[in-house]
Amino acid sequence: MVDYIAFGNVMLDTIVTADGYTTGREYIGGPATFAYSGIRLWTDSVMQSSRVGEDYHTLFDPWIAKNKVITEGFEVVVEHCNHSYLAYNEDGTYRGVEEVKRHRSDWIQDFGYMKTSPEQIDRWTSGGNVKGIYIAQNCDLVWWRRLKEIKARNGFKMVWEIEAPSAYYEYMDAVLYALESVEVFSLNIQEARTLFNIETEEEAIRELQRLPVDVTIFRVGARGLYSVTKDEVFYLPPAPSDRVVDPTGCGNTSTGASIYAYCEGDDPLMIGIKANVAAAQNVRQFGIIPDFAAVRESAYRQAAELYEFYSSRLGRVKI
Amino acid sequence: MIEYLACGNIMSDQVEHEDGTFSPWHIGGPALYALAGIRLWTDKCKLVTQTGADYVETYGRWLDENGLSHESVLVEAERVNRFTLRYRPDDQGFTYEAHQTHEYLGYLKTHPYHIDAAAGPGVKGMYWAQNLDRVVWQNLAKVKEKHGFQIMWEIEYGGSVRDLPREFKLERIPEILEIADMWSINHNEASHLFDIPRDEDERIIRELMKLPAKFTLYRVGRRGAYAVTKTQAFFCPSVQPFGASVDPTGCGNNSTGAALYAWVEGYSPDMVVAMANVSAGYNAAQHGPYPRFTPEVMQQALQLAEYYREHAVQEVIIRR
Repeated sequence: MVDYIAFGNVMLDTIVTADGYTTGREYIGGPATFAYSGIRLWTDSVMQSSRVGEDYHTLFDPWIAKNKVITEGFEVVVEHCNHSYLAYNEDGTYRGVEEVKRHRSDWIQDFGYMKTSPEQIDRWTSGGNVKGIYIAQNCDLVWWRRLKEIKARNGFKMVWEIEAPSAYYEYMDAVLYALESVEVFSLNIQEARTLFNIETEEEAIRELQRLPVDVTIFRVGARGLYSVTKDEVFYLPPAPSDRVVDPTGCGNTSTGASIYAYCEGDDPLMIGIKANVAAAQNVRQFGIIPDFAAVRESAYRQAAELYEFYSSRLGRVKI
Repeated sequence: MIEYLACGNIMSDQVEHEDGTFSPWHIGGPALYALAGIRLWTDKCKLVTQTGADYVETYGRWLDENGLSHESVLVEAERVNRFTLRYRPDDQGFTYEAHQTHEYLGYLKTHPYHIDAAAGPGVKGMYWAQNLDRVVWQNLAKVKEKHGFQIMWEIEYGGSVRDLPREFKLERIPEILEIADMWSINHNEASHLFDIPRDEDERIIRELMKLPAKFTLYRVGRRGAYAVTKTQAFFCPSVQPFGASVDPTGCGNNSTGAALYAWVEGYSPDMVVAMANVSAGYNAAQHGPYPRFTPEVMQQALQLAEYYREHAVQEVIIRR
């Protein structure tokens, strides 16, 4: 039995940086794995539940062995994981490269085939001992209606990282319905713009403060994040990192960290700080954090230092 | 007691005609059409699918009209998949426009564990349209072993399979046919798979006979279909019980479902292909599946199939 579960898809990523450098090999990725990493940085009591391709073993097995990752939640349903090829733009956004052959030409359909169902969440959270879960998900009403029932029965808290295609103003009613089941919400600036039909961060924050959630992690790319509640807003630039290699998965990682911090009783400032510290660990290499035991102590120390710094010196952002 | 499962996606279709006009939306999708193909012969069948909540008003009504259970219809999303189909000339199949994403289609795709949950002790056979993914088939093999039914596989030859190297496909298909008992493929797909012109039926059938399937339904479009076993091939021309075809959508799924039923029930190959083509004939008589299968309709269909078996089906000698 674990306290936290990260649900969702796995990706195996090849990265092309904005200056044209390509990793030339794949790295472990995908929203659920990055989110797992963002929680695992702080606690061992976490597992990942993902439907995967059987080729996940090649990259995952050494990482699983090194970190004693719980594997019961990996369910092999197809031959190949989703293999993504991400090319970064100068502004920090990225695009898929369509002309690169995947293992299967219907990989997008496979992405759906491997997507988490409410039944999976029910299976792993029944018993009522799970504190918090992460999922990146769309705003399908049926999915959220079932999740709502499961959540009421199994009693966990959750963070929802909205999937970009659902972050449009036309889906606002469905988004609001989903948020009734959510304690922590996470989205980036591009998603906020299309969801609220706004342009600036200030406008976005004003809208986010109206949402029926306890905390929103509002990610603004290389500029860091805002931790937003109804009454307070904390702007937190990225936590210092000894090296910046690859931002892939930083949003998922920080979002994962946020549900851990929320469930452990941290205040909104500390939730944002832990989210940023997790992202700072993620950005240090391609792929996920390779060795959690090696960096956990320094992560806790950094979070404590940043909390002291911000709580004494940084005022709240008034909107 | 349920004896046959029609498993997989359901999807509503409209056809865009050459003049730019559209047919009405109608219910469809491989599993639904296969179910209709089975239902012409027995009511001991059910649909196994994941779909949208709005299925109730259309598919649900059709299921109710035909005395079929909803128990394995799992509502997992808001909307049924929708496709606009544009038929190519010369019996070359169709192109389509999806109204939801392919991710959505994939999310609603049937997993082997759904079939496990749906299969009761009386199930003899199941239909599904599927690709060549080895893990999916291995997982289905475990379900088959548990329940002891036979599998009719309609190969998904769209984007996923068509683009794969021919050598890979010719290696993988026999592996799958060690799990599936029978399969169904059309002439455009077989022509591409074997690199043989599609009108050279004999050459294609010779290749089909080399594969380890107990039975193959080889569909040749408007011309009809062949029943192919390891040693025999029977041709049956297409059947038009109500005059010219109104809409061919789903006839392949439909005839494949019927062939599953007929083969598992022990009909001879010449009767199997006649029953498959009669089902397709009922299916082509309107947009969407045949609306209501009464005992009278079922009796007429059986008589029609027997007539065709006697008067129209021909054994084709395939030279080795």
